[in-house]
Amino acid sequence: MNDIKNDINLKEAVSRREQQLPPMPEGLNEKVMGSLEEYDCLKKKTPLHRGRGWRWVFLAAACVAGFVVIFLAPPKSAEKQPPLALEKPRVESQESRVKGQESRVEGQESRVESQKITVTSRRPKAKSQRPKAKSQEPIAEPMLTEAEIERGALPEMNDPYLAIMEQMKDIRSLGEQVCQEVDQLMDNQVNLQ
Amino acid sequence: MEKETNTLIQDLQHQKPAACQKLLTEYGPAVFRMVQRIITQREDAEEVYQDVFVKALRGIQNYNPKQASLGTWLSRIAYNESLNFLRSRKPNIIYIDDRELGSDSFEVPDDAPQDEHTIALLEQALSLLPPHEQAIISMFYYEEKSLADIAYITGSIPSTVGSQLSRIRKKLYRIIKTL
Repeated sequence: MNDIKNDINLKEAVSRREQQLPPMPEGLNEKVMGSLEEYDCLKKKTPLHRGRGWRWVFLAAACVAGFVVIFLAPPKSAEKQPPLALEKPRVESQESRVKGQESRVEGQESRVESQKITVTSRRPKAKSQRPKAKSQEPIAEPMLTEAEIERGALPEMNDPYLAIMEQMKDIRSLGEQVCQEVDQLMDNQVNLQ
Repeated sequence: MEKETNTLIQDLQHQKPAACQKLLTEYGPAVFRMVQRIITQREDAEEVYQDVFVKALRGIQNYNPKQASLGTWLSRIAYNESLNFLRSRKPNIIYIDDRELGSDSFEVPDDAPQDEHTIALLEQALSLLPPHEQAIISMFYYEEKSLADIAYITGSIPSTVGSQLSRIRKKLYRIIKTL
């Protein structure tokens, strides 16, 4: 390494060669400054890009449009909704319910007189079929008083099991009547003999 | 001096025109010299000189003062830009290749006294070296840059630069034997 550094001949040759190089031309730096401004390397010639502002406006408009489409647009068709959601809540008014109960009580009384059958069971409605009541309307049906229960003022149930039971009892009573008539006929024949 | 340089770097990072003017005034001559060592054509050298500062101002945000001084960093850009310019042009100058000069066993005179004839021959030999070798020799002997700085400029390591210098010197003495 020292050999390289101590080579005075080479050092002198390089020095002479460097001195032969032409000096930097005057005005070159001014020319370069001009080109630097042209190339936007300096703030002086670098204003905000014109398209950049519009780009933000378009982006904001697209965001608003997307928001409107997602949150504010109505559903495309009612068919796509579940059937339960399409059902209207069956919340009766107080008066109509009382009237209905009275009519049911009358009907039941007549049936009790004819068939001596009283329906005492009351099944709750299925959860999924329960209508969603609005906040202004009563959420649940009013409870029956003891007097109403004694009168048999129970809501009519469309229970198929109970209906079959009633039919069977009718058939049984008819059968008993037929048996009684047959017995009477047999007795009459025996008396005649 | 260091404080002034740091201020200049900060101003350049903020793209202040005054700082740019100062950079050109202070570092321009050295950069132009580096370009001229590699590119002999004056118009081409001016064009590359301009490109060097455009590139420097665009990359000033990535400049790390811990790696090298501002002047060395600019020299690195100038060196690479000049060589890239030469590569983009068709080579019309043929330089002497090592293989044409025989083996490396040539003995270089150590501590030889100053000799005008040898100096003149070495000057001629220098012009026959490839541009990147001329630049390395000039940085070492004329600018007296350290091996670490030359390695940073050329994108090499100091030990490789030392080997290159030794090889180029031997080559020069082999060339003057042929002259």
